[in-house]
Amino acid sequence: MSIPDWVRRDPAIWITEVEGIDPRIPTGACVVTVQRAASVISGDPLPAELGFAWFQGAAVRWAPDAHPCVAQMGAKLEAHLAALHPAEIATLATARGLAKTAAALRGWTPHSPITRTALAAQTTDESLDGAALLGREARLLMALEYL
Amino acid sequence: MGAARVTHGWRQRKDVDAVELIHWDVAQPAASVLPGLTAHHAIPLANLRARSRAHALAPFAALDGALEGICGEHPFDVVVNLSYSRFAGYIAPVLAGGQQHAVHGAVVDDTGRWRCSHPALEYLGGWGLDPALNVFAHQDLWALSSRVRLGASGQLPPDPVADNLAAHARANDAQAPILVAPGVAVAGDDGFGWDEFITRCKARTGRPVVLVSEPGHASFSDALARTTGCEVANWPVRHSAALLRRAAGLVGVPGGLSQLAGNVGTPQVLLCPDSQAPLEALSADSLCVCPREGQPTTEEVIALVEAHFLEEQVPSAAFVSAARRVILREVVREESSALGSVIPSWWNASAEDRAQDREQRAWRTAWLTSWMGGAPPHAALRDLAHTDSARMDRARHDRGRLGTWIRDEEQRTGSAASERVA
Repeated sequence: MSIPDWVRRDPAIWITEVEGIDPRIPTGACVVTVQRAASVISGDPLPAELGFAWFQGAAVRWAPDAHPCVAQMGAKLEAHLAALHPAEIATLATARGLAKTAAALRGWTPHSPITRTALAAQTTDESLDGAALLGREARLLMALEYL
Repeated sequence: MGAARVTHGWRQRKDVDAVELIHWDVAQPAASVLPGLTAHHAIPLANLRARSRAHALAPFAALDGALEGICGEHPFDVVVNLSYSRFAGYIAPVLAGGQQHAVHGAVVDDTGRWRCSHPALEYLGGWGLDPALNVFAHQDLWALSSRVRLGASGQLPPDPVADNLAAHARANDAQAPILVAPGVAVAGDDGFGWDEFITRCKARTGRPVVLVSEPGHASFSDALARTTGCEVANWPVRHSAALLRRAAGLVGVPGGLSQLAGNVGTPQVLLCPDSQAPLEALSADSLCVCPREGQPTTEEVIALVEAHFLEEQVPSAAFVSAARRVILREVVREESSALGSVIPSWWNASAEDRAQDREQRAWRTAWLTSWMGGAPPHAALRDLAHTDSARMDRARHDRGRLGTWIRDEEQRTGSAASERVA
């Protein structure tokens, strides 16, 4: 067993006018066309691949010689993703197998910032006598506070 | 490099099938030379930090994915935490599948409290590496907390490829070279004339002198190479290890290279910054030149090189004036297998300095005995009780066996004195 490649790579979302091969696309990047991005911004469901990429911290990038509209759409998409509702993030966490985090996010007050410490507190297990115990997800969230 | 003893020690056990190492990717060069490893996994630190800047949850999925990739569905039977960081303290039980008792070392327990699995680590946490308090080599405390015997070897395994490359690169050497690792000191800043030392050492010993440095510390050695015309070999860790294996010895300051030299068995003369040998970088077969009222002269260090590396007879008169300015400490393995530093018998030292050596050795014995659950050596501790030292003050507050014994003994002595007065 070893650390998967997607962990080693810097995550990226690549926005382009048309689909196709471009050597400038970072390896493993999620490629989105302007048209697809526009539909997401206007309220279509978030495609899973795009959601995962954002969940991993991918920045939206485009070719330096791209049409100004591409850059504009890229900035809009980035803002749209940054404003995702906790419930939508919960869906992404479920798909990633982070069940407790997803459950905590579903009950999250909208518009209140999601912090790792607060999330860790809500993902603790409970012992027989009701004391809070750190489970896997809470441990990882807390560990990241000391990165 | 202190991890070498631990990885090697665990691999030697008959009940262990595999030893895997998890480390930050920046430590990859050092991790790749450790002995006894079945596999090693590099967690990408810069990548996780970059994700962390995107949003709070971004590195979460990556860390989860990394640990899943390392363990799969089979967590490790034993996890040895060789770090004192909170990050590792939270992660270690995850690698052991939630089995907190399977973690050796520092750990954040299920209730969120910081715990150490061995009193040696509590000692390190509480006392740090202050030589006025601590008496143990850093690597000994980690070995103890990792359940590896103190005498375990941390020698790096042979590396024929790197050895071959080093042999080709140094094919013109008629004799084994003397390596010089001056560290990051700015010329003249540490009071020792490295350039003068290199020039004279080459002339006196007739050996090639090669400058070496740790990655990122090359600027000073490069500057010295320009002024002295000396060769410089700023090689990666693996190849530096091969070069050290071929060398007559290493003269330098305590640091990563001196620890690497300790792991390949190269004799060393180390110019230390303090009057005590540095606990974080003690390694066997080294002489530590510790300043008391000044620095050693280049001639004195050359004399030490001749005596220690080349086994030449150097008259002890050569060190008469040095003994007024510096203390020479030799790193040795004591009977208990712990590393300690002692002033060599031939060095002109005061009775007070030698008494300090004995006191430190007695403390090591007392602590080790108490950690192993043995009876405290009463006679030795009674002697120590007369030394009104900071160590005794701190030991008195120890929650373990030794602290209890000291408090009981003081109470007993106090009661006996009161009775006599009555």
